[in-house]
Amino acid sequence: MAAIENIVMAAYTVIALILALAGWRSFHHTGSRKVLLLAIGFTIILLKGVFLSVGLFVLPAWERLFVPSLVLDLAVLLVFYLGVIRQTS
Amino acid sequence: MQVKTLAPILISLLLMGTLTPGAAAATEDDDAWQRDARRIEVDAQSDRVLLESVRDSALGTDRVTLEMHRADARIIHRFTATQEDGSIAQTETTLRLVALIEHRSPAGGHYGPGSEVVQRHTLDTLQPGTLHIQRSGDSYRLAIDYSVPDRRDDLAGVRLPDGTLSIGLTLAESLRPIAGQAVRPTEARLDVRMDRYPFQASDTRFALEYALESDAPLTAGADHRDAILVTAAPYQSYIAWDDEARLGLLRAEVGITLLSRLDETNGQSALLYVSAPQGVQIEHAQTLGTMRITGLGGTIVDLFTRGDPLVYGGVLLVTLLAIGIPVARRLREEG
Repeated sequence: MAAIENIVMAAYTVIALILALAGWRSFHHTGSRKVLLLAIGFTIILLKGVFLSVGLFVLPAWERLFVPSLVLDLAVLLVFYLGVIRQTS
Repeated sequence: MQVKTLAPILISLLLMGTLTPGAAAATEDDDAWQRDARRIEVDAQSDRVLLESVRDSALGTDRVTLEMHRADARIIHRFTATQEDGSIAQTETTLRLVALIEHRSPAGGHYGPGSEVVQRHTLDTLQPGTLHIQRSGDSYRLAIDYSVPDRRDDLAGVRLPDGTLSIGLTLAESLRPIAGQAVRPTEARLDVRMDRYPFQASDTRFALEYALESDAPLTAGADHRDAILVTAAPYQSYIAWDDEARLGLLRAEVGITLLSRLDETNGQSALLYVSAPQGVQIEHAQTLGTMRITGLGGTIVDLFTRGDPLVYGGVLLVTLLAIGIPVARRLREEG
């Protein structure tokens, strides 16, 4: 069971890193506000990955991070809502 | 998808396949070893009885010795195994019921250093009866009673009858139910029953005080949370207590307090207190046994976190190569 958690967290964090870097690069080229919000969203996902990965090695009760990670997910959803759903000028 | 994009992914997947299988070793009880039938021999003397349970089969050669002493109800549990290389693994644990305690304790009812002792009967002050051996099929039971004097008088000035402390130890040659619990041949079942304890107040609880000693440091079980372990790799002997006491037809959760005399005795000595509510009849049981740990030999290490650097780092690298390279190439092509 512990092995699958390590596998998922490592893959999650790296993919989030790649998407965040791609998002910021894209914003640098386009200057688009929507792309900025997308890059911010991926960065928050990356932060969540780092946060959970550190917890994997530091905290015996890893499940305590469940609520804080949900808070980060909420932040991502809010950012994506602002970037994708809501009308931007 | 082009070949040059597919190749890193395929190589990475192959690498991932080599990482996971051996990444997490696990320990597990050898259940078949515990259930394997044994042969019991009895050696009875006036002051003690010895039960010797031996097994010499394809699963191993070992001996469990249980010794019960009449004077102080001391139980000595020894496990000796001859390993494949000829070396001997041995554990020895002594469990002794020291005292019966009536106490008042803070909320929760656990007996401990902060409890008020209303009265305490030490076993060396109680008169022991005869140490009996009872045989039923392939199981043997050692039993002894102690009289617990009741010094109270009832309202009419009549002396009340003494209480009785009964201690029983059961060992069987094959797997069988003992008092509703499946007991393996590598295990002995210790039952302690107190009838008509002379409580002096109505707001108190009853506690059994045990002294534990072993020839190796005592540790609390991780998987066996209600147990104390003594390790002689690859074997672990344990004393596991029931989390409930029987009060006649009712059951009540017991409070457990374990005090380890770590500094004085290198962790090889401890005091165990089992606390239960009042009752006309109070019964509690423990299991003394040995298990064989397969998988990891030597010291059993508790992993406090789930982090596995090898697996995490490996997947990190593999994913970075598998996805990062194609993405970087694509972004570079797009300029």
